[in-house]
Amino acid sequence: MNNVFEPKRFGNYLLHDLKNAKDNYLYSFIITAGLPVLTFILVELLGMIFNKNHNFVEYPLAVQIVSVIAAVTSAMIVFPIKQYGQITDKRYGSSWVMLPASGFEKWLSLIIMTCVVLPVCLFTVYLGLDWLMSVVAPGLYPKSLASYETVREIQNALNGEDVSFNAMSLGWLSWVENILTFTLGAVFFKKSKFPKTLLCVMAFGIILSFISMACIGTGHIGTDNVEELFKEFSNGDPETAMRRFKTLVNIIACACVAVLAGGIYLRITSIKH
Amino acid sequence: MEFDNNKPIYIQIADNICDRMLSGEFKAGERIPSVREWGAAIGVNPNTVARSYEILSDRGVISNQRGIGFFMSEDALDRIGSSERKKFIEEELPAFIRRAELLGVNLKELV
Amino acid sequence: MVIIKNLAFSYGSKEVLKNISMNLESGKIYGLLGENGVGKTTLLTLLAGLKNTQSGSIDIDGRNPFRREPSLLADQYYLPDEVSPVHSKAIAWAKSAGKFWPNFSLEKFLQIMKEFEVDENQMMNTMSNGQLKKTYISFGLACGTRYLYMDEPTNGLDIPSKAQFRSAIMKYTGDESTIVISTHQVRDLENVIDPIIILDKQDVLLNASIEEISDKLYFDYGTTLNPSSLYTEQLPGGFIQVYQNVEKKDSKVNIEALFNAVHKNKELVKGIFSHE
Repeated sequence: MNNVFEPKRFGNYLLHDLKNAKDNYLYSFIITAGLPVLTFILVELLGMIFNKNHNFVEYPLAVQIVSVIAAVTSAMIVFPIKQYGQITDKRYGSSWVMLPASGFEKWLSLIIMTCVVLPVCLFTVYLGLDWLMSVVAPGLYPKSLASYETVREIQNALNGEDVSFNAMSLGWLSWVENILTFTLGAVFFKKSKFPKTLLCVMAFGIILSFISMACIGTGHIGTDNVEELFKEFSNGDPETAMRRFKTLVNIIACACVAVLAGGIYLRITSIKH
Repeated sequence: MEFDNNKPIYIQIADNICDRMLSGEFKAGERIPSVREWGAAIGVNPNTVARSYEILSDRGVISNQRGIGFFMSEDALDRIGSSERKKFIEEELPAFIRRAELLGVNLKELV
Repeated sequence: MVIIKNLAFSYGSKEVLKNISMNLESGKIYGLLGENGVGKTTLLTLLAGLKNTQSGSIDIDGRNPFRREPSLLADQYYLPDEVSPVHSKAIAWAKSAGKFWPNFSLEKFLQIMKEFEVDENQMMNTMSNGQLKKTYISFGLACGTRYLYMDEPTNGLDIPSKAQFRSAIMKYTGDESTIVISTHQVRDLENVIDPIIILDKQDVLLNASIEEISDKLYFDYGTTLNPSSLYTEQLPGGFIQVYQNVEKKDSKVNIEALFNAVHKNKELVKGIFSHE
């Protein structure tokens, strides 16, 4: 028996993880992914109550945008806690540790679930419902988020006319970064997982800003070398600057993801009960 | 299964099996439950039951046929009968007589 | 075969186990006894690999349990005192989790559940403590593992279930299994556990089979007091007394009396049972 990876065992484990996700997260998922429908009903109900004519009201674009942000944020926070937060619980955690699959397999399954399965399911169902609403209630519900124009508009808003950022991959990378942060918090802290994670992220930001301030204060980074640095970086050409900037952002994001994923691996393979 | 307070469990189990043979529950030449089956039935560790089967084998009441299991010997009842008679005469009867004398019961009158 | 050598474990500055050495052989149902807080659960979790040894070693067929290798995990099952009420029907949970134990039999699981009178279609998070525990016991036995560690398995079981548990332990484990059951409810498992391990604060007071115990100690259920008794307990109809078995008479081991006798005469009993 291979003690690190066996395809069949990993397949079983992934299925087991999926089943657990269904048991632990299905209701929350339905509410989260169903937000287009739920918020629409809410808006219409409120409209009927507060509108003197008692007729249907138009669903505001702002609500549509707030709701998608809410869905993404809540999924990133709630799913890791419901699905993997339990492994710090003695009762659940000990049977989870004792399940005969390797630490690597359990970790890989966690990564796939949080970084691929959840976003794919969430966006498919969410955007599907969003699209359905725009078809069912035209005139009342705004254009679907997934429609070609909307994507273009968002892309344009993000990048300006010239440079075409890959919104999908950037979005996914930031999803991965964020959900892994909350997952690490979920498997690391025994109680108050979310507040503690948030505090840690904030503390980390403060420390970073202190370090950069200290660098500036002590003259390690001054106005001169920033200019020089920027010149060297941009090569005097805005397009190169943008390209290099994107590469830098990607490298930093990937490094963050690697650190987070590594932290999760270390935690779940060494947890004791 | 209720156990007597004083006797070791493995002896009690052996006695109980003999009683079942005498009452006809187990029949001569037939297979008796395996150590584990009997342990499960009475809630006793198989190692203890194995000890009981060992003394029954030594007495010739059961025989072990390798790979098949334990069987009640053809002459098991005779063997149990003679050892029970021996036990009655050597242990139970003297105690009975002693008690009767202690209480002033006239044995001849009783019979 | 489990070989424990000079094992020590402490929680912070509180030493729980100290210099524990013993071997656990296959085909035996070990009863791990001890007062509250002497480290029974700690020892079991160390055996299962939920905790890491701080000094000394545990060797299970040449493997270190804390490495948590699937090959060893698939060969063992650990039943904690408190089990988790998962949001799933018992049968669906068993089907999904059972796949990881090569010897797992769903049929066996359903049969034991039936013997315990637990409905396999009930959601586990709506079960009572006892039902949940019985579900996990059924699962653990159905895994058919070589090593089975059970922490207080009869806790929370009602009276009929305790008898069913005794029977199931015998019925659904094999002759190659090593079973370790920790308990402070000795009467629930009397006649089941053999050998007996008595753990004391940081020490093993006794690790002996019932046969060896009855060879070295005599359990007297009579009405006359014996002056050399190691332990005496008044019963409605007389006494239980434990004394050294000098005349080599056979008697029935009473585990409660044994436990108390050992606790009152720690060094003496260790001497009686020492193999050196």
